Amino acid sequence: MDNNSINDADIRALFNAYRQTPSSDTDFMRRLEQKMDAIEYIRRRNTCTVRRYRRAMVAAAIAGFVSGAVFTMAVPYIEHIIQKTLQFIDLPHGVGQNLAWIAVTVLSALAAFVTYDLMTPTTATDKN
Amino acid sequence: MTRQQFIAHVEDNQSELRRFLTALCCGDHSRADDIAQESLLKAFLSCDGLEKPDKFKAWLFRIAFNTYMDSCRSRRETVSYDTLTATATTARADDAFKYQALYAALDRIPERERTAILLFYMEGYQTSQIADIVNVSDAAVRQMLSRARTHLRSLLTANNI
Repeated sequence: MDNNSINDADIRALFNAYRQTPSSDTDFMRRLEQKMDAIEYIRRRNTCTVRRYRRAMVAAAIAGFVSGAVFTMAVPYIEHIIQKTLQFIDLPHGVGQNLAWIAVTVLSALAAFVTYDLMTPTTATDKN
Repeated sequence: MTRQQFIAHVEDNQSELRRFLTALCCGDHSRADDIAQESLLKAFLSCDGLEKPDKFKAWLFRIAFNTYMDSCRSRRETVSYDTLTATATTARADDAFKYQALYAALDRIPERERTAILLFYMEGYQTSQIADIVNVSDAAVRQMLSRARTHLRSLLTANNI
């Protein structure tokens, strides 16, 4: 017990005398703040990118919906064009209309995709 | 916690943290500073989740300890004491010489025991607080401290301190 307390006091004194001076506090804090700036920059960029992707998705959905509605109204004309174009083929009854609906779907999906593609950031053009 | 608040807390605690890490790294200043920077950045990234800002220092020391342990795991090769002394000698010759024997002794104590003894004697933490930082039980900390004292005593005696 005595031995332990003596040793304990010795060790305590040894560590009390330990006054190792670290490198400059100013340099250390400057380095840290530079890294924190970099982290905050990346965070801001990420937030901005996520926001732009969300906006692009909403715009693509709207574009798809609007073009779908417009092309749906134009289905009789599309069907007419298809029948005129393929008049040399003897199309069974109703196939022309089905092809018109397929064209509406494809065109709406294309409109949505192009809108999304235009609105998403690219590394070469994105300046924000 | 805002950036300004975080920086204010760091400015209050960074020198103690770096002193602790320097001793933990047995005098390797550059490694200690790298671990301190990494720990502080980890703390910055997760400071929003800190529930009790008054326990900032203990929380910071826990992150630093975990970062140090990760760094030890990633350093597959054990750096010899000679290399450590050489690094310290070029950087801060007087200090390195002054604490050479202490660093040599600390270098021969297992990391967890070294952490416990430094937190206890250098930072003045209670065993329950050390248990929280090192993530072991209070009894385990007492055991680590006892073993570390024995180790340190024999090593320092061998070095005639």
